[in-house]
Amino acid sequence: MFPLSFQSGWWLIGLAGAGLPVLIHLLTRDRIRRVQFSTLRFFAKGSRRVLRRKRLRELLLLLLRSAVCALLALAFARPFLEAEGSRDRVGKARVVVVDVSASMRAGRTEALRERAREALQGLSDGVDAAAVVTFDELPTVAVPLTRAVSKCRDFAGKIEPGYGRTNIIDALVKADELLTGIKADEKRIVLISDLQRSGWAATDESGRLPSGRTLRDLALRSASELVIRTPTGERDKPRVALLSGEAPSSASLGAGPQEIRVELRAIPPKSPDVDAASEVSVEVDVVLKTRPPGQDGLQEVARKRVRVAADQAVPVRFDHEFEQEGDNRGLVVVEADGTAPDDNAYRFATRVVARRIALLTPDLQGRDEAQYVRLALVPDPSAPTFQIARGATADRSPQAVARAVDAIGDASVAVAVNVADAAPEVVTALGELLERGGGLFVLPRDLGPDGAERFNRTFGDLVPARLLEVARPRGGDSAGEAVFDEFDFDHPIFRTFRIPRSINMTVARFRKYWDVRDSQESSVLARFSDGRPAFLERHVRKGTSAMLLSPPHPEWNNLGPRWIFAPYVHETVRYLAARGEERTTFTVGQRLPVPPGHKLIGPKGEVHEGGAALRVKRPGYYRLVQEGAGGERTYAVNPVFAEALVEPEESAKVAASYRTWQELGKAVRADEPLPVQPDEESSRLWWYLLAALGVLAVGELALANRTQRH
Amino acid sequence: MAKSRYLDFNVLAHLSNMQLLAKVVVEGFLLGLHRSPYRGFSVEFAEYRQYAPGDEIRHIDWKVFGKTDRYYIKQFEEETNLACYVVLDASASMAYKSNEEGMTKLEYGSCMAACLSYFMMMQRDAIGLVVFDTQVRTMLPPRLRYSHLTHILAELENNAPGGETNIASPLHDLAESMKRRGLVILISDLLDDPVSVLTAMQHFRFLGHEVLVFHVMDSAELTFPFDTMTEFTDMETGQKSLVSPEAMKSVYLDELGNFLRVYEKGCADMRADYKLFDTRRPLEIALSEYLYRRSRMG
Repeated sequence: MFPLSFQSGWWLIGLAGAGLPVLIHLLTRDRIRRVQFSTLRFFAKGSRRVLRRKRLRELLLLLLRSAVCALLALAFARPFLEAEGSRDRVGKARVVVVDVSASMRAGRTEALRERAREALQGLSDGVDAAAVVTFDELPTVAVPLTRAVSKCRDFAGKIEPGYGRTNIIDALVKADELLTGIKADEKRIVLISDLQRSGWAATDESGRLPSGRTLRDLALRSASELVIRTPTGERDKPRVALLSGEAPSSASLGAGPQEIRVELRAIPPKSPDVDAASEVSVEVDVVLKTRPPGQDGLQEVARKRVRVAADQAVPVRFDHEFEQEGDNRGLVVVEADGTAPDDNAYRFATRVVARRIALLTPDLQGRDEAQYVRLALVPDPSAPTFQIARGATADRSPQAVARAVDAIGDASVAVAVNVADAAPEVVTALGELLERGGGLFVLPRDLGPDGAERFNRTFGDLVPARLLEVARPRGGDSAGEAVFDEFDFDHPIFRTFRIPRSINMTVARFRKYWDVRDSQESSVLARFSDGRPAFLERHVRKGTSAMLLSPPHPEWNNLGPRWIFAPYVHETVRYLAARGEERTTFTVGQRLPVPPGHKLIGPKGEVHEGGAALRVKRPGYYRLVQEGAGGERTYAVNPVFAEALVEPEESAKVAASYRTWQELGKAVRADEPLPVQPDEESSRLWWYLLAALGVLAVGELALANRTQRH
Repeated sequence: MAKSRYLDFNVLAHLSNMQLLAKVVVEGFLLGLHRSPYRGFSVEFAEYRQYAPGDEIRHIDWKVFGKTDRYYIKQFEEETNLACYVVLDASASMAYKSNEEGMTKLEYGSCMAACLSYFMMMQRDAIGLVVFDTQVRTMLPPRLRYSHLTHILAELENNAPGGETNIASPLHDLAESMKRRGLVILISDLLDDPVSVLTAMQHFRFLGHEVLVFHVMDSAELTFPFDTMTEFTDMETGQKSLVSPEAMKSVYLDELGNFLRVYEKGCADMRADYKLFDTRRPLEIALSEYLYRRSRMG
């Protein structure tokens, strides 16, 4: 069986026109007039016969006219016979694989559409079959394999490149899957892409394949031929592309200027003279715009004029201090000739928070280590970087416990100095702090009798390791002291100390420290010179817990008065606070978290209900709104900057890279024109219908002439 | 004389310069413009013939006997009045009229009968009236008195359409009852079996009567002007028929043509005059045309 399909199905509405003759007939039908007449002798014999004949003719005429109307609508709907399922034989089966990644936006849209239309030439409706697969990072079957080739042609005229990155392999595999099981005289995949290096380079014969992929993936078992076409967009002027951008996802209020940086590179115009193209340099303005919370529109806050060359990436840095608490939107845009294309900008969202620290000590009287920590956190009380709330753990009065719990509840980081144990409510509050992504910084010292045991019992599940005993350095120097020896300079806490490396971390000398056990799940970020862990980190629940095993105290070390202590504490607390904060800047193709009970509102007002992460396809600012609450978060989504750096490769070279495919005896052709057949074949059934329509119209005319109405 | 609604004096004035000449000489007892087939002994000498046994002696011309010594009978052609029977069909079908403002066929025929009666009375012809539908309803024998004309007009005045048409039977009855030869003017729509009607007319002809057939038809009957689906009801039988006029018109007109041709040919065969009248046409024009043609036939 060949089910009927339609290329322009909306014309089928015209089938209602078949009722039009019936309606007209009903509206204008004869009203029976009653007349007294002298005699019926002259027509009594023939009246019934004539009447029957007349009614028959009228009925026939009505049917003919209805058929003409219906056939007309049917003809314009462009019907064709489609094979049942996709298992029946077709003439040619062709899948057009169209690259709609961000790199195709650079003035190539029309060329892309034209190539897609060309790729569909020579196919006939109802006889051949075609499909369109678009791809960026993921392939999408835009038009499933169908005999209605005109559907593919219609879609080809509406192809619009997106903002995603290029992934050719998955698209080809998807196209090959579409051709699986299809019986056709010819099965061909036409790839239309700029063949950007990022989209295929990892699949060449060198074996640099994506994780989990093998060369056999490219075997494209169903298609018999692969044709590669590259759209050539005209670019007569050089342009500047953003290569990357970086901005803090969070910042402390009053923490000073934050660094925002982007990298630029000039894209030379299309030129046969490669050397000349590489010498291109462009002078552009790089503009920083921000929008503090509660304000409308991005306001320019800084501008830099830079010269960008084609052969190197040029970094541009801004230092900007965020002055308002909340989500600050930012945009770094490259302006050339006073204009800036939409997709040539780096968006970011920086969440500015007033960081609150809960400083927990056994009592509220200052002791050495607590004083050192407090001074390190707030060196200048007139301009506090952190807001500190204190809590006493030794005082078990309800007021003291409540105060400690409140302090923890408002804090993003809790710092416990020389705390051996605490009330259960306080421990619970610390657990909740970690649960909501906060940090816990523990500095245990002299914990008293059974201090280690009490500490382990109270905080064992919240800290990086359990305390074993107080130890002294093994094989230390002549004074029996140890120093910091091994730092993880790649860790955010110590990254600041990496450059310059002239900082002498050995100025702090340690005479005592805690030996620990059960630290297998922890990361050792610093060790003493005897090899024992000095500073540990462990991710607990959704937060992070860190522990310094020798807190600042004259009996234990000289760390407190040393200048490295304050930045060390600062970075640690900042890290622990930042660990619990969400990422705010994303790239197209990545998934934005949308928790249940929230909704995500896109840049064009589109709403995505919560419960599942959303893979974003469009750059811009997205707002995460908690339903029923006033809270709102902002996410910034950027285009894939790698796509801006268009590095087209010769299609012949790409074609040659499909070695496995060629080994299977299949053809790979690059940029060869497709055979063109007259398009008239595609409308064969349509012409048949028109011919039938003509015959019916003539019949109607003849019958109408014989059926005089009045 | 009482004025009748069927006696249109304008019509009569228009007709007064014409004379209705009988085609044949009929027997009569008053002198008139009509030639008598009987040669008698009146004022107009015709010829002599020899006396034959049986002739009345008083008709012998003694002067000729004195000159020739032979017996001759003197013969005259006498001018006699015409005994005319106006036979009017008053069947139900004669009540048809297609135009509300026009006349029914019966009214038209009555008018025609009145005019003819009056006109013949003026010519001193005896005029009689027979009204029939399925049978003879009224019969006024020919008389040559003006009062008789009054009776005729009164009868026409009170005439009303009756039942079904049955022309042949009353015509046969009438023929049997007529004692003298004369002129029979049949005014009817003739919507009956033509064969039987013609047979009845032949009966008159057989008896030596002159027959004039005034076939009265409504214009709608002649042209069938209907244009929408119509249910026709037979005025005599009540039978109904749903007809599509545009499809039936040609059939109807063909059938009607055949019908008229049968009467026309039948009348011609029996040498009776046949004239078709359309009720839409003015009566005087119709009569004039007829009389003019009759006068030419003289």
